[in-house]
Amino acid sequence: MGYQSTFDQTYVCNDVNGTLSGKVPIVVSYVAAFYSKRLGRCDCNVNSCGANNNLCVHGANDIKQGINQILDIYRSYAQGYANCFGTTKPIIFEMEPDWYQYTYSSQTSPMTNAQAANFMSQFVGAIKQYLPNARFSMDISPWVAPNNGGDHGQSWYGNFDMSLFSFINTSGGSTEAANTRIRQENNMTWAGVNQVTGKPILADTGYGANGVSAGHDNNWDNPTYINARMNDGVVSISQYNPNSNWGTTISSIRGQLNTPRYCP
Amino acid sequence: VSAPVFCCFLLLLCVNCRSHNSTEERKAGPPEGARLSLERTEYHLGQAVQFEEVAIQVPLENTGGRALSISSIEAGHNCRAAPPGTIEPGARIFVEVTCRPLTYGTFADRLRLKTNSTDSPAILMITADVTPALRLERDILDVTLSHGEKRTEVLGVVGKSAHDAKLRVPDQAILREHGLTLSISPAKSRDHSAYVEAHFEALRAGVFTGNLTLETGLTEPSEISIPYTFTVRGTLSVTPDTLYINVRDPTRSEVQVDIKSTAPAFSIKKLSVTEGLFAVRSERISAQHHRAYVRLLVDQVPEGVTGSVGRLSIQTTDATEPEKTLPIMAMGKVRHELSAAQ
Repeated sequence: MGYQSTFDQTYVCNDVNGTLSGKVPIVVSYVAAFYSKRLGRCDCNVNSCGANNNLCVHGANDIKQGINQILDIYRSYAQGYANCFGTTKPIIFEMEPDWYQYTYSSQTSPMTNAQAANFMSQFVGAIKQYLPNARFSMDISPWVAPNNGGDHGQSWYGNFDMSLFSFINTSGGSTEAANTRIRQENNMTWAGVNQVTGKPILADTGYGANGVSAGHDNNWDNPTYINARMNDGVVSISQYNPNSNWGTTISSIRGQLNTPRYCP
Repeated sequence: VSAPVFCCFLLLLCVNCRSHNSTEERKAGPPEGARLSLERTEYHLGQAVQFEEVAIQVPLENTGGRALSISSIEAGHNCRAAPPGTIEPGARIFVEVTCRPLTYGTFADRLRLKTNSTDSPAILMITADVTPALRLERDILDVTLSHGEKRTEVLGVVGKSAHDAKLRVPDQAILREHGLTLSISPAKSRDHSAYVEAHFEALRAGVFTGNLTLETGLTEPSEISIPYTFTVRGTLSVTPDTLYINVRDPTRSEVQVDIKSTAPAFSIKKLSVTEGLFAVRSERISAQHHRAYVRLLVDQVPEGVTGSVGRLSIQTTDATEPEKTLPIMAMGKVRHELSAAQ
């Protein structure tokens, strides 16, 4: 969400009001990032926009000075969803993947933690203005300070009004089913971030830098691993590019799964 | 790898290198196609002012053997340049690039030159250090007060246009709901611009966020704003902040809410589900502590529906937060036969 500056996702409503009736839509909201990208920036790990012309350098300054325009974009999308999906059914927004990157010292004008929290609350408020029954998920960056995720986000999430959020979610793919850590190279664990926030986790996998598909992640088909992660607070997994028989796989392993602590 | 095989491999590499170098020498001179050569790929404009135009001349040279055609020069929102058309082999021309920074701070814009050169598009970065035309001197107003407290924060206005601005406060309805009002104080001397006073009054507990926005009377920027976070501490505590009901787990079909307050003579005035197919009951644990239990009315949810949301309203005698609303989420697909069996 946010690829354009006005609502362009009627197709989501068409699906959820049609063939996917009864399902709860989850929308990845990348509005602030797309706003900066429309100013010519690339994702942090992408160089095609020119040297250092990326979200990790200019993103925070773009967002800080464009905050009113970004809020207008949020309102446009929220109003669009209210019109085509209604305001009573649940809908979940995964808010601003990699939000933590806007506090990096590599930014020309980094956000303070207070600013990052303030803007996030305003984004949620802009959606709730039109979608009072929307639910929100806060992004997980498993490398947050201090010590590369060592406190499982205690300090980082402590800046935010977490009562606004019903979930937390990973982003960027490549999350590890077979590991107590979300990613091997970071110290944050699935259980740790669940305990710190008290929120159920929406996990993602199957893609890498700049959204490039990494294929089906077979570890997330293994009942032993899934049960371990459910015990850590995971309630959902999205495969970016699943095998065509994923539905059959899910059906075949369902009987081997425990009842999750929270039930999706 | 055995020693003889390793040596052969090295030898082959060397032969290939020599052969490649010889080919390069034979091809000395301009390449057959068009080739765009840029003196630099980044230009720094130095100090610039927000909303004011700066122009530079950028040299472009065709070091190829055929005419170089520049079909377009794409820029971000801040810079522009007209494509010069064709550059003959060996020729060098200058293109005027005009930038008008819309934001202050470190400025960076990218030009993409699409040509018939083999390495098209060429990327040219334009950077500058931009001073603001007008802004509030602080980045955020972050104020925490106890219920009933008041505070005034003074904000200066800085920037090249600070003396020309005629600040005006637009509609303050939302701000007033949050316990804020704004007023403008005139400049104290010719050396100062007007000041903004933000008056905080902690009317009710909670976290209130938004932007304080002022009209400037200028064409650009017509408005300036500053984000605020106004936290008011109260005496009511409700945990958890979100209620999760697990439809598929009978041991978690009812969720517990602890409602505590340090206010004297604390009591619950009303507990109600204001949205969703949920029911609530409560019990008094102590004078300062009540406990509510929320459950999904499973038999009223259509078969097969996944997920159900609602809202719990808690009205108490605690004056710092007379009403608190909690979101409820029931997760899992409702299966009536399963519920009946349980």
